[in-house]
Amino acid sequence: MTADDPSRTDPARIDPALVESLISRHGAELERFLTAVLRDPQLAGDAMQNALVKMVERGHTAQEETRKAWLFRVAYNEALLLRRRQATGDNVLRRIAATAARQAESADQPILRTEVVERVRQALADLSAEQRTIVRMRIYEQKTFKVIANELQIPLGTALSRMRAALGQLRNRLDDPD
Amino acid sequence: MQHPGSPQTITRELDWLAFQYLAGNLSTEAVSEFETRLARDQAAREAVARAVELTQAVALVEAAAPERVVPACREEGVAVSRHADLPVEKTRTTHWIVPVAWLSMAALALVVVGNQFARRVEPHLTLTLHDPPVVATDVAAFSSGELASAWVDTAEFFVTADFVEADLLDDAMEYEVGGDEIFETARVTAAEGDVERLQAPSWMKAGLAASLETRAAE
Repeated sequence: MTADDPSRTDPARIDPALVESLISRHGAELERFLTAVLRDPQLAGDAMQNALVKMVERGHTAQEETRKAWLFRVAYNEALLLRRRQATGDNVLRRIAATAARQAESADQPILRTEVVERVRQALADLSAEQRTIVRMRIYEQKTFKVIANELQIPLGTALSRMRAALGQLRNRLDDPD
Repeated sequence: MQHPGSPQTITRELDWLAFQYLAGNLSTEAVSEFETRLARDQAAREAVARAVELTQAVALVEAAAPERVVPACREEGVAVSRHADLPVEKTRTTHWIVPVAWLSMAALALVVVGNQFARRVEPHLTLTLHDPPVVATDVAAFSSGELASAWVDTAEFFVTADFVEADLLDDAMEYEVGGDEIFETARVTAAEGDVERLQAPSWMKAGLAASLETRAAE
């Protein structure tokens, strides 16, 4: 067996199969998290790649039961490093929604599982008309809560509490579809 | 009913905080505090990931709804939602109505056009072409096939032709035959002298197309 033998397991490195399994289980979630922190899907991809390199190099030091948290923490640190180098805007909601809309049109690389979207569709239908209006105006139409409150002629606190209640219901539906 | 200290309530609090972080609704201090928490709290990190997932899903659902116009996530500027106050279920059920309505209108238009055409040609209609080949026909006496054939035979003149009845030149009316480039526009005058925009029957276009192909082949 030579040093170049790919079947050789380096005890100072994590098993590549384990990394693959971690990516397959948590990759999408990690990418979403990084997108939120960096406010840029492309930078999020870079941070994720850096984190995976770290995972391969040093992942063996993490306890098996905390590997996911370890991966997220390392990725977060990588994201902060990248963010220091990049000037990023604050309009992350717009970017995320725009990315989702573009991908909905191209449909070649789905960013979300169909059943998640379908559950959200049903959950949106179950919201009250007032809640649904707020969700649409905030997430899809990108209006601030202040503008929403003005347009709907309701107090700002009401707009916020409707949004909060709506998100709670949507989340419940996603977590527990039945 | 959820209790204030229950795990679910705590998770929902965190979800709301994560959404506000994502949406840029937190103050600079709150952002700093939350990001410090992100460095050590896996639950907070997962909450942020959930907020992104939800945002993406809502954007996908809304983007797929054909009623929406000029969404802000696609275009800069203010978006307008035509059915902002309608329940989603209600707007979804209207999707099939539009094509059915169009089909019904198209069928009705064909019937009206057919009736009008038959009525207009009841007296002897004389077709006068620009450089007069004059084609006099009693259109009402023709079958669809014969009419198609006549249309085909004279079609090459229609691009520049006036299609008029001899005695009512001043009452000529516009006659648009649709998107077909070959037909462009021709004018026709009917005995009643009223103005309508009519569509050439599809069988007539098909006949002409077939004929032109045959001629091209010859």
